[in-house]
Amino acid sequence: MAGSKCQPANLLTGLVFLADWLQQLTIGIVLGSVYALIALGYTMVYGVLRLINFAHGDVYMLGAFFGYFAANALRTAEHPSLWRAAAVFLIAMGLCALVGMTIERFAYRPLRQAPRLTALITAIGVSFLLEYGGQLVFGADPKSFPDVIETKPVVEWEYKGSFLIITNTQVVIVVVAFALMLLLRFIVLHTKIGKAMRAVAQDREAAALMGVNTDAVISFTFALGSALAAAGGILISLYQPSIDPLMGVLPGLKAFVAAVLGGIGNIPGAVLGGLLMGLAETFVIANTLWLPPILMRLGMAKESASGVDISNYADAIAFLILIVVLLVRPSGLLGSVQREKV
Amino acid sequence: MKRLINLILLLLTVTALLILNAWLPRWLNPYINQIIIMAGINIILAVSLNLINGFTGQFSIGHAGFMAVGGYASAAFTYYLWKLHFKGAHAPGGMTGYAIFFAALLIAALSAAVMGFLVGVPSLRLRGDYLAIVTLGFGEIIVALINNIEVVGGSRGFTDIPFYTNFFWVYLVVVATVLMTRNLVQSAHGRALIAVREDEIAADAMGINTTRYKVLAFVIGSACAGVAGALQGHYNLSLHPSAFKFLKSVEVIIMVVLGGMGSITGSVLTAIFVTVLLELLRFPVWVACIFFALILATAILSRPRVPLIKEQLVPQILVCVGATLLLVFALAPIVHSALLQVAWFKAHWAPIGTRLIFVGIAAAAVLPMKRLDVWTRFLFKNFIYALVLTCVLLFARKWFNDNAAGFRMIIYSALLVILMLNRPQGLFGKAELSAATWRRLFKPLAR
Amino acid sequence: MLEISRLDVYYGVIRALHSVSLHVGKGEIVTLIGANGAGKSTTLRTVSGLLRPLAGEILFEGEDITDMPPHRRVALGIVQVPEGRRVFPQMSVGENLDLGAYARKDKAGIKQDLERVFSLFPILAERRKQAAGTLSGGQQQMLAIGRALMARPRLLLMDEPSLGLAPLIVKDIFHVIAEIRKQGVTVLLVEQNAHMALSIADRGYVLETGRVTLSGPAKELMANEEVKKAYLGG
Repeated sequence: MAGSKCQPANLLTGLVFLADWLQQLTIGIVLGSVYALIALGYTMVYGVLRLINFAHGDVYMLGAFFGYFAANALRTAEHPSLWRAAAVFLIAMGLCALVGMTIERFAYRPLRQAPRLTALITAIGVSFLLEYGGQLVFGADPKSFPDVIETKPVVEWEYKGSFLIITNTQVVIVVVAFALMLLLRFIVLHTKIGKAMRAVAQDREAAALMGVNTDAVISFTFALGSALAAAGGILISLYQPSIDPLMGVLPGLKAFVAAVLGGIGNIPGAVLGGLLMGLAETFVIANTLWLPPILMRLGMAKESASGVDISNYADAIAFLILIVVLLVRPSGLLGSVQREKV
Repeated sequence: MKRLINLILLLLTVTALLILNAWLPRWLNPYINQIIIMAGINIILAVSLNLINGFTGQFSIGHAGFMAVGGYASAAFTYYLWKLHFKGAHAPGGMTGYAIFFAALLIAALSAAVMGFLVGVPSLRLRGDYLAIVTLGFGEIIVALINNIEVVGGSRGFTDIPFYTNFFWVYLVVVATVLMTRNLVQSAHGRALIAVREDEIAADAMGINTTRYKVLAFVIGSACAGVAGALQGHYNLSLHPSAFKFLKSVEVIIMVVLGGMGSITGSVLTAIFVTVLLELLRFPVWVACIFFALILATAILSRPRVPLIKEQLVPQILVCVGATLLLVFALAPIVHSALLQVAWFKAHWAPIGTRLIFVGIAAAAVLPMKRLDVWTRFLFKNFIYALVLTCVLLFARKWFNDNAAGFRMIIYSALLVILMLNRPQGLFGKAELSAATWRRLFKPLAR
Repeated sequence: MLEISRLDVYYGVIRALHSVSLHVGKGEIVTLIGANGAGKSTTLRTVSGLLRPLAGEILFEGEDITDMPPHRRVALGIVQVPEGRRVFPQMSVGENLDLGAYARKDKAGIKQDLERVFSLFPILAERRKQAAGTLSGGQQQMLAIGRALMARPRLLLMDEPSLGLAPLIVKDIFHVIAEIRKQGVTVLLVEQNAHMALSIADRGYVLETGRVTLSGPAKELMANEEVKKAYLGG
C-alpha cells in the first residue's frame, strides 16, 4: 500500500501537488479495481444464498498462490509473454472456481434450511481451515510472486516538484479487472444462466418452479465469484509481489465492506463500493491533509520524524465511511429499499 | 417467604464461592485453575451475546468491542487509582482491594453499557446483515481508537494492571449473569424480546416498543461483556487492543451458535466445552480421542428421524454408534493404507478381510431398518467425515509433530464445520436443560 | 395422469400429510379444498418437488417421479402457479414470461405461446416492459398464470389463485382456468374459495389436517351437507 505517513499541510498548499494527487488517484483506482473483483464474489453469493461467504477472501489468497505456482512452473520471469500470462490467469481462476464449488457443495449446501448464523459460522470455519491449512501447506513465510510482465513506466510527468508515474502493470491491472467485470455483466444480463442467476437471487423457490436447476445455478455463481477473486489475487500480486497465506484477511474484510457499501446483492454496487474503498484508502489515509492535524490535536496520533502515523486507522476509517453511508442509506448506495410486506 | 428463600440461597452461593476461591488453588494445579477462570469469563461472554443474538434475534458480531471498552475503562481506573492515589509498590489488596475491584467492575459495566447504547441506536434503522456489519464496524473502530489513546498504552498495550481477578469474582459474575438473563427471559420483558426475534413487525403492530427492547438487549449484553473484559484484564495483568478484534468476537459467536441460540444452558455448556477443547487440542494424545468422540456425538445428534422397527432411543443410538465406529475403524485405515502402498495392501489381505467382515456386520445391522436410503446417506456422510479426518491425521503425522500449534486450529475449524453441518440448530437449539427436555429426549417418535 | 399414493410429508417433526392419496385424470379439473393449514399447499409443493415425502409415491403418466428434482418435473410438464403469485419483482413482465419458458428450447413454439398468453391477458401485453413488482395483485396473478403457461404445461398446479383478489378479478381468473382446460391442459386446483372451485371442477377432494376426508364429483360435494356447512357457508 502506498505510504501511510504524510506531511501535515494545509489544504491550499496541497493543490500545488497536482501530480501527487493524480498519483494517489491512480493508486486508488488500481486498488479499487482489485477490491471490486473480490466484492463481486461476495455480492453474487449473497444475492443467491443470502450468505456472507467469509471464506471468499481466502479464495483470493488461493488464487494468488495457484498463480504463484503456475507462474513458477511456466517460468514467466525468464520468458515473459502474453500467452504465459494468460495461462497463469486461467489456471488459477479455473482451480479457484473448483475450490469455490467444492466449498459450496460440502459446507453450504447442506445448510440451506438452517439458521443464518449457522451458515455464517460454517463459513468462518472454512475460512480458518483455508488460512491455517495454507500456513501448513505453503508455509507461513511470505513468498515472492515472480514477474509475469516487465514493468515499464507508461506515463512520467513532473509538475512543480511533484511526480506522476503510471506503470504498465497498473494499466494492465485496471484493464484486466474492468474487462472481467464487463464479461460478468454480459453473463448476468444477456445469457440464459445469467437470467437464471437473477431469478434465483430474487426468489429461489419460484425459480425452481420455472425449471431452473437451482443447485447448478448456485454452483455456477460460486464458480464465477471465486474465479474473479482468483484474478484479483494474481493482479494484486503483480503490483505487490509478497504473498502469504493470511493475505486474504484484510482485503477480504475491505471487499466485504465495499459490497455492503454498494448495496449487498447489487452487482454494479459492488464495483462502485470497491472503487470507493480503494480511493478512500489511498486518499483519506495516504494523502490526508486535514486528518492528521485534527488527530494530533486530540492527542490521538503522534508526530514522528517522517510525518504523522495513521496507519492504525486504516480499517477504522473504512468502517466509519460504511457506517455513515448506511445511516443515510440503510440499504447501501445502490441497494434497493426492501419494503417488507406484511 | 420467597424473598427469604432467595436471600438465603444468595448468601449460601456467595459463601460457597468464597470457600471454593480459597481452596481450589490449593487442590488443583495452576493450569487447571487458569482454565476454570477462562471458562468462567467465556460463559459471561456467551450468555450476554446470547441475549442479544439468541433471544432478541439481533445480528451483533462486534461483541469484543464492548469487552475492550469495559476492560480498558476498569483497568484505567484501578491502575491510575493505584499509581496516583495509593502510590504504593503493590496495588492495594485485602478488603480495600475487593472494594476497588467492585467499583472497577461497575465502571466496566457502565462504560460498556454506554457503548452498547451508542451501538443500539443505529440498530433501529438496520435489519439483519446490515446491522451485523455496523456492529462489526463499531468493534473495529473501538479497537482502532484504543490503539491511539496513549493514556492506556495505545498500540503497545496496557501493562501492569493489578491482579484482582480470582475464582470468587469470576463465578460471582457468572452466577449473576446467568440468573439475571434467565429471569429476564422468563419475564414479560423476556417474552417481548422473543417476540421481537420471531417477528419484529408483528411485535411492533402488537404495541411492543421494539426500539426500547432492542436497545435494552444491547445495553445489558454489552454491560456484561464489559465486566468480562475487566475480569480478563485484571487476570492477564495486561490488555492489548489486537486481542479484541473481529477474531475475538468470532470466538464468542461460535460458542453461542454451537450451544444453541436462545438456550442459556447451551451457552454455558459450550463456553466450557470450547475453552477446554482449545486447551486439550494442544496435546496430540487428546486430538484423536476428541475427533472420534465428536463424530460419534454428532452422529447420534443428527440421526435421521425416521421410524425404526422399534421407535426407541436406545436402538437408534446403538446403530449410530456401532455403525460409525465400525466404519471409522474398519474402513478408514484400509483406504488409507491402500492409498499409501498397494503392495502392502495385497500382502495384508487377511487382517483387512477381518475388518471387512466387521463392515458386513454393520451393514447387516442397518438392513432391517426402514428407509434404508435415508440411513445410507446418513452413514455415508459420517463415514466421509471420519475418513477425511483420519487420512489427514495419518498422512500428516510428521507434520503434526512439527506444527502442533497450526494443526490445533485446523482441527478446531474442521470440528466446527462438521458440528455445524450435523447439528445446525446448535447443541440445545432453543431448549433449556430441564425435566421436560430429558423426557423429550427419550420419547419415541410420534406415530 | 397424476397418481399420488399414501403420501407422508413432514415439516421437521411435524406431520403435514397423513397417507394422502388422490389422482387426477387427463383433461380434468380436480380441486383440493379445505381450511387454512389443512395441507393443500403442502400437497402441491410435494408434487412440484419442493418437498420430499418421507413415505408414499407420486406417479405421473406411469412414471415414478417421487425422487425427481423440481427442474426435471417442469421439463415433464408439471408446472405450478405458486401461492402468493411469486413473480420476480425486479424483472419486467416480459422477462418473467421468458423465464417461464426457461426449460424449453423451441424458439418458434415459445413465440407462439407468448402470443397466446398476450391474447389471454391483454393487460400483460400493455405492461410488457413494466417491473413485475409494481403490478397490482390481480395483474400479478395473471402474470403468474401466464408465466406458468409459457412452460407449455401438461399438468397445471394452481395454488390459491383467488387469494387476496377482488371478487370481479377472481371471476376473470376462473374464466381463464376454464379456457386453459379447453386448450387441453389438466388442472389440479387448490382453493380456499370452495364455491368457485367446486363450480368449475370435475372432481374434488376435501383435506382436513393433512388427511383426505371426502372425495367425489364436484356437484356431489357441493350438495354434501358437511361440505356446505364447513366450506360453503351453510
